[in-house]
Amino acid sequence: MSATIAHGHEGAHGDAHAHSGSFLTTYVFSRDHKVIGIQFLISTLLWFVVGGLLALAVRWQLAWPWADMPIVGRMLFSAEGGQISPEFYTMLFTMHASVMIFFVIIPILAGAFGNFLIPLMIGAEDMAFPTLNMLSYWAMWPAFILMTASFFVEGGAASAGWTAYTPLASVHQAAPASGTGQTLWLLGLIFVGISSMMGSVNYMTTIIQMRAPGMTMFRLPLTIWAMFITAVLQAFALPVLTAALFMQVLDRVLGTGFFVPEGLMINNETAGAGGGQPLLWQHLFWFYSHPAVYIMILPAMGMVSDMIATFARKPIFGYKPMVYAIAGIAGLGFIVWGHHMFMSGMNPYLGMTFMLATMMIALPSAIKVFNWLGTIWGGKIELTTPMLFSLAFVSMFIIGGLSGIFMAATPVDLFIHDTYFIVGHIHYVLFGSSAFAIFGGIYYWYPKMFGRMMNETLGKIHFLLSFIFFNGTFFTMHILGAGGFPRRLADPYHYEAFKHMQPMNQFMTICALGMGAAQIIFAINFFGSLFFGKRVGRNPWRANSLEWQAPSPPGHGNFDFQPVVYRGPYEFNSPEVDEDYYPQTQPPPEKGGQEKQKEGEQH
Amino acid sequence: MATAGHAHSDSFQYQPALPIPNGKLCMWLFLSTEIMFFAALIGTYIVIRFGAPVWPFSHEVHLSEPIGAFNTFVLICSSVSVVLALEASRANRAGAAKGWIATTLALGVLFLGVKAYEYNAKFGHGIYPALPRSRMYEKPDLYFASAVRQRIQALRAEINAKGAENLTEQDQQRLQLLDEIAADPALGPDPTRASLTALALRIMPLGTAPGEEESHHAGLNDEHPWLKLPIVVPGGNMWASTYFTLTGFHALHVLGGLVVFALLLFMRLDAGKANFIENIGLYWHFVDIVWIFLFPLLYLF
Repeated sequence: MSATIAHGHEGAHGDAHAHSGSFLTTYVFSRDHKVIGIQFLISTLLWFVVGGLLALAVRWQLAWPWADMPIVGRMLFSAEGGQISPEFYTMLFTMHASVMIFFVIIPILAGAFGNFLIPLMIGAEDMAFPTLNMLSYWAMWPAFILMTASFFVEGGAASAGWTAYTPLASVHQAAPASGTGQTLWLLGLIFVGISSMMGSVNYMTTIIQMRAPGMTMFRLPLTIWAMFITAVLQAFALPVLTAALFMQVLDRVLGTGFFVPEGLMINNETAGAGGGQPLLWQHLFWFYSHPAVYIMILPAMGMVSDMIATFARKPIFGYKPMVYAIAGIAGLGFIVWGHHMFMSGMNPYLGMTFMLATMMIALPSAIKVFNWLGTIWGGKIELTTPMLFSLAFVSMFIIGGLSGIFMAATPVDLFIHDTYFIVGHIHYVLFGSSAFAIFGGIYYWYPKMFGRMMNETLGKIHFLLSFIFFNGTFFTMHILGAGGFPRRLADPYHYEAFKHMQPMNQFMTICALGMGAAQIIFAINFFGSLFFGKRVGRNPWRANSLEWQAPSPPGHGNFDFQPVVYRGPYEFNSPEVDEDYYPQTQPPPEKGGQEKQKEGEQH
Repeated sequence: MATAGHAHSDSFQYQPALPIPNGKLCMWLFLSTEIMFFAALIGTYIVIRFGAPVWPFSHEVHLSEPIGAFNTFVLICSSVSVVLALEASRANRAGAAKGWIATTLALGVLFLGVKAYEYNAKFGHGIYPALPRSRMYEKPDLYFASAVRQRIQALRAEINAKGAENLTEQDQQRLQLLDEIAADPALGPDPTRASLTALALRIMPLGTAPGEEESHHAGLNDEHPWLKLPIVVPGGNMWASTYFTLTGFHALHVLGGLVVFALLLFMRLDAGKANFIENIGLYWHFVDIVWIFLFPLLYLF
């Protein structure tokens, strides 16, 4: 083995000497992966608040359309006398989705958890390229600033939907929807893309090259496998979106015609010289944004696998199938983007190919679900807050996954396309699954991040309220969607057919407000525990993976010993040791233990 | 590999999967993301090019194959010189390495200079993506005729602004030519499709399909460069959009490489810098390969 061991000469060993840095280099322009991870975490949680408030405003309008919004209405919409205007409504749902997807879920999973966990879980002192890592965080700031600024420009922030379909989004005069805000939105996402690209090459290099001795690829925790495959997805899918975003910017700013069709007339004037192909934008956009769906769920799946194994006190059921399932989902994820475009006038034969490929994703997804259930089966389950969120993840993912099969079938999708069924599905996958896994992950790794536990009672209240209100809000959407209730309309009740659905919408809005309020408990718990949380040692959950063998919180260089790995991360209740956990770094028992093992083989 | 390690006590041991330095792996991964970036751009070009009903011939948009071929040659030479720099650096001949890096830098600058010359030629003929600065029209229609009329009026006003007594003989001749063009039936009260087409061809003759005899008569814009009349180039807008976007992003990548080469000139390029030169060399080869795809796509098809 020694021949394959190299010193981390290109790594961050220089960083280990940086103890005496100023406040600025330690906490602001830090190159330490843990600080960068926490920076990502705090920034994205703040955007979570912004995205959540935008969603509540959407809900307000759907429950009580054209009613004065309480408290903030007069201030925000003085021109309309405290009401949300239709243009503002389109901006609300556009920015809600954009913020939640690009500024919350993706950066919190890859940026916050990826950064914090990857070096710790593989036994590295830092990322392969700490400066690049720092830049990947700071490249988010131009995006933050551009997005924030877009709320204040004339015409307001982007409002052509988070998908920015052309030509609506690519022609200035198309609608109030596509003013300067749209250009800022595009530029912002380009920066997000640059940040993700820098992050993903760094993660891949780190995981390939900087695992501790003995940490073979198949001894990696599933979180790391998921992060690795997510990084691959980001590296190969995101540049396509970046190119498409650039082309839309050029269409808007320099008058190229990539996505502007021939003979487009707006207000009796030709809009642009034309000759482009609007459908091409959809292809390029979904070529990234479908894999992005997996970028938003795979790391969550990995984290949940770790939490479930720890709290069921059992080895994960089918470790290798889990790895192959992640890879399978990612691989298939590249060839299914067309299922977002069944209604776009795409060739029906092409639609069928996309449908079949999409259906096949159910296979690896089902493998994962069955393996989680197999892990829980017969385990000594500890219902801690992270475990509750993980169990919620699994059940919500089943609902979100099953409703996904409805949409994958072209004939069904033709009916439910652009209805609230789609909105319900995406929220079961992104909120019920990803966000719940994120909450679980925060409760689980918080002791490692800050050296203190979060309050379990508050955590359980937070979980219970979130879970109930979540289902109250989003399950109803399936019923509405099956009834044809359209998305993206400021006032669906304008149509007679949808009038009877208003009470249901009011119920959903009340649930959504409750869900929003429940997050206040989380915020109190998160920030309060920084000061009042119970101090903990290295391994409060009695888990096996490497991060729990490091101090809490880990100092510069992460480990105060050279980690050497002897086994996989899921050896719970091993017969070799007395405790019910068996850390990856613990050397196997001496001779006596080996004899015992031999005896066991003979019997 | 183990020999490459430092003897720091706080430096950890790792189990790398690949026997290459981290920097090189990172560069390969970065280049694979770049491949996807250009794949999207080239894919867009192919979709738009083959979906377009018409596409301009190269001389209509003043595209010169020999210049493009020369630029390809320049870039390939620079790929050779960067390899020679790496060789020299590995052999610890810092001076020679610096010389080859300077050669690469010079060739890269030459490439960009030729590119700038090409861009300038197109801008000079009013070939921009889309209005208002572009003088290209997709078809000889009434919008085109009215744009010609406006341009003639603008030119007249410009000359007449000097005052009647200050007009030179050249100005008189120009006014005469403008009057003659304004008398074109296409600019009269009842333009027909045929007359509009004739006007368009008079300003700039269209290209001929390969194999046919090249049309030799020059258009008004060629004979009198000061006219700068609007022109009709079917498919011209999408040609300009794709050409400038693809070559523009490539040029930006070239520029990025040149910045690094320029920085290298301030360093001592001994064997210790060989890994770095290899990485930037990989990047430079990538930029070269992108151009080798772009040249036939944009110039020869």
